[in-house]
Amino acid sequence: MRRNAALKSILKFLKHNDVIIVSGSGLINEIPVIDRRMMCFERADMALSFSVGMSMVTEKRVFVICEDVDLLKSYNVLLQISASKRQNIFVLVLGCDRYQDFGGQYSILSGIRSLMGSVFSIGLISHNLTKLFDGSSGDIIISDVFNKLRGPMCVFFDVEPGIVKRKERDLYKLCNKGVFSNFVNDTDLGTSMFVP
Amino acid sequence: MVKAKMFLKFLCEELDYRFFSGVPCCGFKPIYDCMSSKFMHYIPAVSERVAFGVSVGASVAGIKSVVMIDSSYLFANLDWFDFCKNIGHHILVMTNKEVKNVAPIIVVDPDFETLRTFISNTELKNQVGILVLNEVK
Repeated sequence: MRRNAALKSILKFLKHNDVIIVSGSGLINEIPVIDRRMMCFERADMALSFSVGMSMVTEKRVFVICEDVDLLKSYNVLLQISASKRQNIFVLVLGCDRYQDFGGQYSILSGIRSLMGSVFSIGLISHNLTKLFDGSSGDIIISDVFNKLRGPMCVFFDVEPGIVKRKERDLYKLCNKGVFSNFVNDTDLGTSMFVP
Repeated sequence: MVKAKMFLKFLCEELDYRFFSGVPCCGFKPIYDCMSSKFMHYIPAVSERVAFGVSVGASVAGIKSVVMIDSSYLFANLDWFDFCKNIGHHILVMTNKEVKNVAPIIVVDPDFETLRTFISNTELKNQVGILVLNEVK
């Protein structure tokens, strides 16, 4: 599955009251629709640290979508996420060990024993949900998994190399702070956090 | 000279800035000594960038917040200043020394009315405001 297809499938299973934070210009260009739930950042460390603050003040689920190579640059923020112990923060990592937006250059990830293992040892629950999206699992099973997520969690999705070239989106024109802020503060929307 | 306890009470109770995030720095020792979970919430961060992010995240969600960082790290966080400027967002930054040409700045002195006017102006204009605490003991 390519990155844009993975993005589309993931967004399908997120709820109307989930906060979504997207990082990286490539992902921002590929995301199908940018709505009031979303805030976009060019850098993953900014997106991740913003999400920590956001998760502390809202009960809504906060999803950060980033690439595995971005995660390398912002490894220290994962420590902060882990230390925060917030159950409503989730990092969704789309990875293929390459800098997809910069000509597909290889990263050092292939030399690392296990990124997932290292993230787990920091203190975040780690899962690889690639197999859920290979076509064998139905929508009901996938949505059940997404509904029962409890953080702080890092979810990995392996994607195939290759991007869809689209017209560049202007980051700051897309993100309307007022609309986003109103959405976050809207308590009538409630939360989709799983209560066992 | 400004007493740290009075300054914190003014900031937390009168102006309602109760969410703080930062990385420990020797210039803020008087402030750390007066902190209390009764009237404020302090999040220690792994780095200055993260402290900024945590505070901006909280304040976009509607909680007035303050970043406490060493002045030498202000220039390393220019992209956060840029972000706040572009989306039109107000946040307070506390530093220990004066740094010019980054954002509107004020040295905290015993006249709290000037401070109140400065903060309300930056709030109205949706700007980042920098408070310099070298007089706070």
